[in-house]
Amino acid sequence: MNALADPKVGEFVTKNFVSAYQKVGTFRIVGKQKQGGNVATYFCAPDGRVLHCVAGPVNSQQFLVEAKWTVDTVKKAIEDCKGDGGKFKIIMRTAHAEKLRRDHGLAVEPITFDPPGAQDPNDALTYRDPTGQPLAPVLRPAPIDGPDVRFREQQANAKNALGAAAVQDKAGRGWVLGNQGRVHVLMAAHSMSKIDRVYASVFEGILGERISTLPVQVVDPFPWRNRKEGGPTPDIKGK
Amino acid sequence: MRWLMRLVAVGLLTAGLSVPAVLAQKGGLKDIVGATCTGDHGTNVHFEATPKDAAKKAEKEQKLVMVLHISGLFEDPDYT
Repeated sequence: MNALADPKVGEFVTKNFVSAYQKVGTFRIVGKQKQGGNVATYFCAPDGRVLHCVAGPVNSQQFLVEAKWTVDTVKKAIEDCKGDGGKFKIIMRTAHAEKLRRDHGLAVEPITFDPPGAQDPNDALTYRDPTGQPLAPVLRPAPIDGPDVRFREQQANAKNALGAAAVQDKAGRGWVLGNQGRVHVLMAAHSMSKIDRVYASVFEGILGERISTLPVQVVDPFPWRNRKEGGPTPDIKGK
Repeated sequence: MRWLMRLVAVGLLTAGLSVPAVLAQKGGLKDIVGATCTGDHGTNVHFEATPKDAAKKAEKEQKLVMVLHISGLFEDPDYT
């Protein structure tokens, strides 16, 4: 991730965050070309609740903007909530909705409460992962009210954003949002949820990547070039 | 001429065997080995071994946690 190689980003991240990484997906290398693969960055509280997220690779400038926004919003939320966890969650989700309106021109109503899970974990029909880990649910983003009239121009710019994809508002009208815009729609409803609840919706739902523990596949499209006399064809390697 | 070549070969072999031993005595070899694995993987950010470790450290240092979810091997730039 090139943004993290920037000294300014390094300095800011080191000052405000403790970092770690996890492999959640894979990709193929066919010849010299990479197929698939992506990255998502989560800014979390120390207990693993997601404050904000950057979906996909971004440049150092945008990364710094997102990281600074997270730190500033958290600082302000801590001041305003005065120790009330519920209020902190409301402030964070409202901040995401406000950023979506300001930066992407779409209005959403932040969901400020978490309804109880519909699935009964003891139900015989409930799938249980053999490892004992609950499956990451596909989360429903906050319903989109529609364009904010003051920001129609930004909505037009969203068509050129990274990962631009169609979204529908409550009235069924179609709009376009880039990766970061859709992150804010998700976060307006699920900020402060644990990372294990959110990651599938980001990696699969927003980035369109499959979650996988498979190794990277290196595929030689011209295996006959490297074939030894009488030896097996070296076509696929795992790493 | 052959005597000279043998002498050079023996000299090079001796030097090759003795340098790591000298470095190890001074802690130099340890430094060299350590330098290949700093935990930053070509970035300007230090990464803890696991998100759990990062969370523990963050709580202690009153910081937030940044977790990267990646495809492939972050340790190997060719596979990230």
